[in-house]
Amino acid sequence: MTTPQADLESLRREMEVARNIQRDFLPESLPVALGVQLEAALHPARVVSGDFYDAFMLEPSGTIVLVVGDVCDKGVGAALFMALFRSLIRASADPVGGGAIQMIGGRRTLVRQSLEAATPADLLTRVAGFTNDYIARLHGRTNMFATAFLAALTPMTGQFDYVNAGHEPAIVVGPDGGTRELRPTGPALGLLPDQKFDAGNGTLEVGDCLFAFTDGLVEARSPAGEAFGAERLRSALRAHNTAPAELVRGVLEALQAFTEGAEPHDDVTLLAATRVID
Amino acid sequence: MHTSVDRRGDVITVHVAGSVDGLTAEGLQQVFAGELAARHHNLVADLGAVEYTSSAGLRVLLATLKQARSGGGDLRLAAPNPDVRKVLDLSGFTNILKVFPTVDDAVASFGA
Repeated sequence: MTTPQADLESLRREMEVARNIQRDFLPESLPVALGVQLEAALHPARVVSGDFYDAFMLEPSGTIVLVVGDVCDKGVGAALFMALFRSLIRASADPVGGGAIQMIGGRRTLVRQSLEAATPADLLTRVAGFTNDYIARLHGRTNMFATAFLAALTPMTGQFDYVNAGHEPAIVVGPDGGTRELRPTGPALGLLPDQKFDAGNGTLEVGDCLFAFTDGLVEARSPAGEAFGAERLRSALRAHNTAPAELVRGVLEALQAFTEGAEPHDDVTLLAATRVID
Repeated sequence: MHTSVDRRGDVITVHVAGSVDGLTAEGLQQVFAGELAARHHNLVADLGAVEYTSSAGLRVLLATLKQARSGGGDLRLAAPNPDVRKVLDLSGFTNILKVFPTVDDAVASFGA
């Protein structure tokens, strides 16, 4: 016979296993490319998280795909769907990972096209459409959805395309503190089938940082109940050098100072990509 | 969060007040589920007194919207404050459901 304490301990261990497995759904390391530096952080509010991020390079183009997502609600349900959304996006953008390139007869050969997309913008809108329809049609009964920001960045030129699926606007911040918002180009993923997703685009000049995040950042509360908010985020972004590690650390420090170490009520995820001279 | 319900013709209005978050969303879900179980498929959510909604609240709206439509009705929203309206706009909910400035407008839209 088990005691309530033993049951609780068993549950705690199961959750610990879930947390460790979930870590494996985040990239072990971020892509390294000439011309761009990346940094990311994810702080779950609970043992497991509904937030996710991803960053991977497409071969042979060298395009870097950046993803920040936020599954609705929190806890275990959101965590299960986080694994699904992340995998659908990654697999549809890059069907066989690095294996898309095979050595055939001593030559690097592209064996499969990512959703046969002609351009990075096409790729992103198709990935969003595919993921949306998969969730809405196969998992419609759960009414789960996710907001996501997807970008495809060419490291050497700084040119990028993006799809913002119902997500907090990502921000391009320049070394002079100037900012540009990358607002939604379509609804959250999974609401209803057959939604339309458009792509936007831009260019990162040297020193510019593309900063994407989840709403847990701007909705974090001070002990007095005030939200961190977009203005404080903008000030924190302006107060730091646009080197991505410094920017992410600076924003997290500003957040901690604001919340005075209070328990977070939502997951917080940040992803920064800065164009650099190599 | 608390709710009250009234009926005009075949349109049920659920007046919602307070914050809809992970803790309170289930209560709201039950109110809508009760109306749908009673075959009331023309629904208005009066958001006039909602201060804040998390994604858990949006999920309740999505579930209710789909069930109301599959029953031949609809869920329409009324009077969200600017903060709530911003959340609805950003997430694309205003692409998939109708929002009216007042409860009267939302209720009248079912007769049109």
